[in-house]
Amino acid sequence: MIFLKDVNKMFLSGILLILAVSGGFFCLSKFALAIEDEDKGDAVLYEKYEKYRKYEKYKKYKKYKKYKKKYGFSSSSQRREYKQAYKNYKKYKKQPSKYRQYAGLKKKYKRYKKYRKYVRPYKKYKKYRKYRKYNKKRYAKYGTWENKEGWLRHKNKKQQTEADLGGGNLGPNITVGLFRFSKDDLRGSAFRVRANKEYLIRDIDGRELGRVSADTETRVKYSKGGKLKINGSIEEVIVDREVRFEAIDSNETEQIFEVVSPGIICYSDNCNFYRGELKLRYSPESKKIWLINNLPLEQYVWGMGEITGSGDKDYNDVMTTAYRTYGYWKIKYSTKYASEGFKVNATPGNQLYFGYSWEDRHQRIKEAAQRTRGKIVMYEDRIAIVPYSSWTDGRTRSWKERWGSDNYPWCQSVKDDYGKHPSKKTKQLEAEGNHMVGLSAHGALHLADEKDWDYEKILKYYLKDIKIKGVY
Amino acid sequence: MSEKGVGGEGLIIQGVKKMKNVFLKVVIWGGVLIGFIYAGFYLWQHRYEYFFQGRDIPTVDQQKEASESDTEEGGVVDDDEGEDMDVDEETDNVVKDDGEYFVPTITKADCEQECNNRKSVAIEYNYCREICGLNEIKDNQSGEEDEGVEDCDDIDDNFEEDVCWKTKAIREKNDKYCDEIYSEELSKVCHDRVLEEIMN
Repeated sequence: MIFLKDVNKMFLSGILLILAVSGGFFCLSKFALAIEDEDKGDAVLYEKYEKYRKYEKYKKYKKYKKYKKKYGFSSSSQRREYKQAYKNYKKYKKQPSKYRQYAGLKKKYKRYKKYRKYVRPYKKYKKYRKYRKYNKKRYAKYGTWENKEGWLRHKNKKQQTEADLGGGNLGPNITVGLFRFSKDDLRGSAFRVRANKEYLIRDIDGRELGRVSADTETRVKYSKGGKLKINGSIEEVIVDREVRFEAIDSNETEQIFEVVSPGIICYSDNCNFYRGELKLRYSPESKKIWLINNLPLEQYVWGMGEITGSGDKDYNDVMTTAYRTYGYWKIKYSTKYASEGFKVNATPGNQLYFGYSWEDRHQRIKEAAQRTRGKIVMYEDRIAIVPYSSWTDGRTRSWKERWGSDNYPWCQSVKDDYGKHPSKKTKQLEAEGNHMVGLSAHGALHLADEKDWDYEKILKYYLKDIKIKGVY
Repeated sequence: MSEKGVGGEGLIIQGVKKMKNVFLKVVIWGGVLIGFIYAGFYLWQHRYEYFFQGRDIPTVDQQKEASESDTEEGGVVDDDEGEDMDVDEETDNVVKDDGEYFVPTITKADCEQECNNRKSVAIEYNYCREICGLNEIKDNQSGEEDEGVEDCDDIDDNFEEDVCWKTKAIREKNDKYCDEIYSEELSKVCHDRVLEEIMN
């Protein structure tokens, strides 16, 4: 009997155990499903919160409309009239005896003052008129924490990286403005070029003008009306605006062009040799002719003239990474030289670039570039452009402190004992072009050399919350 | 049945009893634990219902973090709490003063062709050239100091006004003017261009 009793209890225990285990499985499966649901749910929350944001924006537009109705003007000519009256009355207020004739403008002055106070600050919201369809009371309820959290999660998930240019082993191509010629420069003497291998000449539309054997010189002169005259290696031909010099094989990475042109001002001893492609391009906007180098980003980094490569290995890694990041950003976003046909120029205004001769004589730069190949500085999904200065006064400056904008949060002020100039004062350093924002070159050099910091640690010290990302 | 046999059976029963106790403890404590996990998970899953019920709905302006992630609004605090709600209000038809104009999508290919493919429609062509940065930014010829934002404000044409803000931002190396631009794409181009000027 005792045995049977125990068997019964065991049976009951077994059933309980089975129930508990299956309950556990049930909970786990619910948990997994809930996580999956949360993923799908975030998209819904995102949509809801977006509606709420647009609803709020439209509210701002309504405020602008309200003030405009109350304090605005019926026409722009009336506004200009009142504006002038406002200015004149201000003059009267400053010097009543001199501007007595404006004394009667007080009413208009007051009227325009109200416009300045109430309408102008809200004008920026006028663009939110486009959200008028979101002016629905129910959207106000979507501004909950839950929706906001889902919105943030979904936003972060769907946000695509800015670093999406692709490129092969050597990265995407960059166009570098090397030298600028006036029309007269190339009327008198010819621009001359040759290469270590056979090369192609093309016009602006990509039409082949000729194939030229190695070491054979091609000459280009400015003709008139934005045209260029080419001869020497090929039968004389006049082309519209642009002439290109390229390798026969587009995969050729060992093609070196030599520019044998007089009047080129170099920042280094020898800056006449370039990898990649060259082109001469006349810009109708500036009326100048630019010599442009088109080459992969990595090869551009190999020719960087900002350092000599003689410093610590990690310092070289820091500098090549910063240099590459700037180049990458320029490829993607630069419009400054769009009318001239390139992305970055080779002068200290942008980044010094000397080309192949420099690369050949400063192999440690190339080694650093190869160690950090494809790596750029990122802040969240943004390309974190890295400003750098040679020296600081013992502290770097935040972007906001120096240039006012808070759009670049990775540039914050940090202590920089190692980058502090031994004798020069702040004003002197600033006058010499040290903005002291971002990276401190001498600070980085000493941290690498004396503190033995690796390049990532140095970059992360000077740039807040960044990460180093390989983008090709 | 021999004594030896009975004695052996007793040992088995004792063993079973011991096992049963351990077993029951495991089952009970396991059940309690699972119950807690499930309850915790349930609360976590429905945290908003329980934790926020009965409270005021928090808004963007009450949320510091939101303003950090919302770059479009540029930190302007301007809520109109007391304003009457116009449900489904259809706004008036004044377009001229509301900043809008037709904004075409400009691609990399457009820029590579220097916008010549858009020459047939003047506004598209001009807009395209602005996006691609093909129009030169001229220096301030008048030599007069820009007065606040009034100069751009006075322009009636909305696209021209946007171009004015962009030019002003670049000349003064101050990207706050870029926020005045209606076209979001042009505003982004403006910000990047100011960055180039600053870094130059």
